[in-house]
Amino acid sequence: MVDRSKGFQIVANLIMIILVLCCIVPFILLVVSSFTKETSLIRYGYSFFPREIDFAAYKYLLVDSTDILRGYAISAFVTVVGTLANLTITTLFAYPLSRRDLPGRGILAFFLFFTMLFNGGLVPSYIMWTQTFHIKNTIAALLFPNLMMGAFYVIMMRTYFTTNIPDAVIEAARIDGAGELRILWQVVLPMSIPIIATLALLVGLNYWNDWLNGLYYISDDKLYSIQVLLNRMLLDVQFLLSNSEAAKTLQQNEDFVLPSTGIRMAVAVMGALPILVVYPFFQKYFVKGIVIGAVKG
Amino acid sequence: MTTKKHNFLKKLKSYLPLYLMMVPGAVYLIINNYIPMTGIVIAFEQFNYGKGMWGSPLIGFKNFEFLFKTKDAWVITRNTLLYNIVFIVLGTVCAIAVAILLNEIRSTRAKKLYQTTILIPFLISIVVVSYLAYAFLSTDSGFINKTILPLFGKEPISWYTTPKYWPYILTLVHIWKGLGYNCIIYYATLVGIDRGYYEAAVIDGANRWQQVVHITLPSLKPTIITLTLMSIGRIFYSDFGLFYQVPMNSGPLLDVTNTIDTYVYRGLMSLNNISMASAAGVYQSLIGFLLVLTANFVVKKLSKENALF
Amino acid sequence: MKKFLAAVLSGALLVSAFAGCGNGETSSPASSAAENSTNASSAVASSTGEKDFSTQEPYTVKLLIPGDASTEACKEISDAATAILKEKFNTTLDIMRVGFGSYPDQVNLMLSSGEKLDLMYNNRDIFVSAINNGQIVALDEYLPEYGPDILTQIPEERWATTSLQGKKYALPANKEIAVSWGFSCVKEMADATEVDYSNIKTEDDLVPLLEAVKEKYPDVWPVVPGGGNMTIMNTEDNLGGDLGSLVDCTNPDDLTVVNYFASDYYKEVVTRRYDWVQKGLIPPDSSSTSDTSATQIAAGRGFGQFCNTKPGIEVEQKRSTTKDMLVFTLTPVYTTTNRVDILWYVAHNSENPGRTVQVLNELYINPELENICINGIEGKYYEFADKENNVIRYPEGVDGTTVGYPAYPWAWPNEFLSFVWEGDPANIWEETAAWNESAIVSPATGYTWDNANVLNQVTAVRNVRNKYENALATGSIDPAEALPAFLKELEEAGGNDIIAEKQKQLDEWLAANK
Repeated sequence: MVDRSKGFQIVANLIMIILVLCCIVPFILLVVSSFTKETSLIRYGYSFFPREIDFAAYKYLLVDSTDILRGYAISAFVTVVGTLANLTITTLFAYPLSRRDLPGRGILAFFLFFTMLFNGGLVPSYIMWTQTFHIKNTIAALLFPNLMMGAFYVIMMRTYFTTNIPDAVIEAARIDGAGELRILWQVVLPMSIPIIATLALLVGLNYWNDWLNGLYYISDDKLYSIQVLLNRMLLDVQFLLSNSEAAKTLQQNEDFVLPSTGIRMAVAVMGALPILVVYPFFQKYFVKGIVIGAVKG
Repeated sequence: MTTKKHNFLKKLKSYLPLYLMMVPGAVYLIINNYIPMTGIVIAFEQFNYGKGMWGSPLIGFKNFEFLFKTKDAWVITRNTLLYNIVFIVLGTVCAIAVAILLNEIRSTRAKKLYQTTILIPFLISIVVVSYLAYAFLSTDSGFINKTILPLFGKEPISWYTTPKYWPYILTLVHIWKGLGYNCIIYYATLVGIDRGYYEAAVIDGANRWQQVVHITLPSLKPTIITLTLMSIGRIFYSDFGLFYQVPMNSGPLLDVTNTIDTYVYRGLMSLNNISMASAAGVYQSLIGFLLVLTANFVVKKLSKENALF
Repeated sequence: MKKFLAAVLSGALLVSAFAGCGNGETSSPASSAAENSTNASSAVASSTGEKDFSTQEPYTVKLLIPGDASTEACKEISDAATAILKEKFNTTLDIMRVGFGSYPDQVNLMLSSGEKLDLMYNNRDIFVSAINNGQIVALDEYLPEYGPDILTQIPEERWATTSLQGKKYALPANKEIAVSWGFSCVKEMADATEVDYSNIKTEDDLVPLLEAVKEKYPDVWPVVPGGGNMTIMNTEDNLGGDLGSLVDCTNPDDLTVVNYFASDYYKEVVTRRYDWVQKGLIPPDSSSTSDTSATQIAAGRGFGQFCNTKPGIEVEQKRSTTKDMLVFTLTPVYTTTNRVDILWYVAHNSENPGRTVQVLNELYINPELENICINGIEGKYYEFADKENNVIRYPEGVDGTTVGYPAYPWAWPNEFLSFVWEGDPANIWEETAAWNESAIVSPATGYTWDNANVLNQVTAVRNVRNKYENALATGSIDPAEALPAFLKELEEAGGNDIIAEKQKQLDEWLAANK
C-alpha cells in the first residue's frame, strides 16, 4: 500500500498483464471466429488469422434487427429494475442480520441460508409462479423467479457490515436519536459503497445473463430478452448433439441444419459485448465509491 | 416474572423496525423458496401427473437407490468431492492473490483495464467455452497439437481420449472462468480496510509481506470463512457445463469427468422420471447440509462471530 | 409475527398453488361424459347421414409441437385452421411451437402445472413412461365416436406399436416407418477417383473407394462422424432401447434377447472402424466433434457419412450438404416398433379428450387442414411451384430461417397429405408408402419395452454405454482392450437383469399375440 516502489509495480503489472492475456486471447479468438467463413472454420479449425473473412453470422443474427434491439431493451430494463429491487431487499434483510444484538439472529440467518441448500425443483416453482401469481408471459417473469434475492448476496453483505462497520458508530448514531432506517440510510450505507457497488455488479450480471426464466415462463417472442433470443439457438444445438433417442429421431427425419459455429460464436459476442462496453463506465462510480468509503471508514 | 416479560416485550418493541425491514426479504424467500420446497416430496413418490404432488403414491427411498446401486457411486462421489475441494482451495487462493495485487497497482487506468478483462471469461457461456477449449485441444486442428507441441518437438496428444490430463484442464478452466468474479468480492472487502492500519504498520517497519499476513489476511478472514462455508454447502453439486460440455461428453474421459450431476443427467436423459431427478437433488443437498452444519459448528467453537448462523 | 405471516401465506398459497394439479383428472371424465351424452343424442338424431358436430359446445384445443416459430405466425395459422374446425366442430385450434432444445422441459412443465394443453407431438422414447406417469390418456374410449377415420384407416399392426396391454395410447404419425442404413458421399469426388462403386453392398466394400479418395484428396477425411457418433450398419431390433436386442430382426425365428455389444457382428464393425482410423480414413478422436457430418461435408472437410436411407434421401442430403450425393444402401429395409417414431398424444390435463381426438382425426384425414398446419398460408409462408402436382417452395425473399414458421411435415400426424417441397420427387409420398410396405417386419414389432422394474440398472447401463459406445463406433479407442472392458462394465451395471426382464416381457407378449 505504502511501499509503492517501482520494481514492485513492474512485477505486479507484469503478472496482471499475463492474467489479462489469458482472459483476452480466447475472447479474441471468439471474435475472430465469428467473422471467419464457416467452411474454413470447419475445414482448418479455429485460427487467429482466418483464411476467409465473412459476416454471414452477423447477417443471420441481425436479419430481424428489431427483435435484437427489443431484446437488448428488455434485458437492459430487467437488469436495471431487477438490480435495484434486489439491492433494496437484500440490504434491508442483511442489515438487521448483521446486528449482533438482534434477538433470533441465528434462526433468521439459518432461515436464509437454508434456501441455498434445498430446493424443490423446477416443477413446484413453476406451478407457484404461474398458477398463483400468473406471471407467465409478463415482464415480471424475467424479474421475480429466483433472481430477486439470493442468500449468497445477503450473506456477503452481512459479512461486510459486521466486519467493516464498527458497533460504536451505530451506537453513537442511536444516542443521537436516529431511528433504525435513518441509521441504515445515513450511516451504514455511505460506509458500504464498495460492497453495494460489487453486489450491484454481480446481481446485474445475473439478471443480464439469465435466460432460464425467459425460457420457462415466456412463450411470446415479443418478450424475449437478448439472452433468451441468443441462447435458444445454442440449446437446439446442444439437444441435437445430445445423443438421446429423441435427437437421433430428429436427425433421421431431417438432416437438420444447425446454426453454424460462426453463429454460435457471434451469439456469445453479442451477449457479452454490452457488458464490456458498459462496465468501464460503471467502474468509474465503483472506484469513486470505494474512495469515499475508504475515507469515511 | 411480569417485569421480566415486560422487559422482553419492550426489548422486542425496540427491535421492531429491524424486523419490519426484513419482511420483504422474508416474504420473497417464503414464496420463491420455501413453498416450492414442498416439492421435495416428489423424491419419495412415484410421481403421477394426474394425481399431482399430494396424491401420488409414496414409495419411500426407492428413487434414491439408483445413486448407490452402481459401481460408479464411488467414482462419481470421489470426483465431485475432490474437484470441489481443489476448486475451493485453489479458487480462494488465486482470487485473494489477484485481489491483493490489483489493490497494489498504482495506475487507476491499468486497474480498471485489468478488472474489466479478467471478468470476460465469466461472461462467456460454458458451451462456448467448450468450443474454445476444443480450438486448443482438438487432435487434428487444435493449437496445442498443431503449433505448440511441434515447437518442442513433441508428438501430438489425443486429448479427448486421454483421461490423465483432464483433472488439470478442468481445474484450469474452472479457475480461469471464475477468477474475475471471485476476485471482485475479495477486492471489495480489501478496499474497505482502514488505511490507518497500514500506515501504522509501515511506521513500525513492517514490510509488504508482513502487512499482507498481519493486516490484509485477517481482515479478509470473515469473507473467506463465509464464502468457504457456502461452498461446502454445495460440495456435492458440480458445475454441469464444466464437466459435461467442456470435455465434449467424451466417453473415454468419464472416469475423471463423471460427477453426480453428469451421472444423473446421463442416466435419466429422456427417462421422463422427475422423481428420480428430484431424489438426486435431495441427496446432494442433504449431504451438503450435514457438512455445512458440522463446519459451522467448528467455526462457532473457534470464532463465534464468523459462523454463518 | 414472522411465523404467523409465514403460516398465513403458505397456507393460502399452498391451497391455490397445488389444487390445480389434480383438476385435469377429476374434471375431465365428468365433462367428457356430459359431452358424450349430448353427442350421443345428436348422433341418434341424425343417424341417417353424417353426424353433425357443428352444434357442439365451443371448445379450444391447444396443440404443442416443436420447432421454433414466431408467436405471430402461430396465431395467424391457428386462425386459419380454426376457420375450418369452427365450421365443422365448433372447435378453436391454438398451435404453440417450442424449440427442440426446450421442448421436453416445456412439455413436462405444462403437464405438471395443469396448464391448458390437449394435444402434443412427442417421440417414441417417452411412450411407456408417459403412460406409467399418467401424463397421457388412452384413446380407445373416444375413438369410435370422435376418431372413426383414424380407427379404421390406420392398420391394426400400426396401432399395435402404440398400444400397451390392449389399450391405444397414441396416434402413430403416418410417415416413413422403416429404415435401411447406408453410406452417402460426394458424387463429384467419387467419380474423380475412377473407382467402380456400382457394386458396393457392405461396409467392407467401401474400402477401395475410401482409400482412393484419401489418396486423391489428402486433406479430406473419407468418413466423418456426426455429432461425435457414427451409425452402425445393421438390422438390429433394439426392442425399445436400454440394452437387449434381436441381433438380426430380419430373421423371424430368432427371438432370443441378447446383448448386442457382445455379438460378433458388433466386434467386427468396431474393429474395422478402429482400423480405418489407423489408416486415416476416419478422423482421430471423432467422438469429441460437435459438428454434424453434413456441415463437415458441406465445408469440404469430409467425403462421406454413414446415414439412414429412405426415398428422397439424396435430395434431403443435397439440401444439408449443398452437394450432389451418392447413397449406397448397405442393409435391407426393415421395421421395428421403434421405427414408428413420431407419436401424437392426448395430454392428461385435456379437459375434453373426445374433442381433442376429433381434431386429431381431422388432421389425419383433411388435406386442407393438415397443409395449413404444416406449411402455413399460401403466398406468405409458401407458394406453388407446380400447382398441378402440389409442389411448393418458399416465396420470393423468404427462406427457412426467416419464414417464421418452419415446415416439418414428418412431425405432423399425416405428412402423406401435405404438399411436396420443390426438389423432392412429386410422387414422394407414394414412394414412401411403397417403401414402408417393402420393409421386412421384425417379429417383435408391436412389443413395447417397459423398464419400470429395472430403473436402477437402466441408469447405470446408460452411463456405461455413454462411456464406450460412441468412442467404439467412431474407432476412437482400441476395441481389443475397450470392448472386453465395456462388456464387463455392462455386466457389473446389471445389464443381464435388463436382458432377462426384456426376454420375460417379450415372451409374454409373444404368447399373447400369436
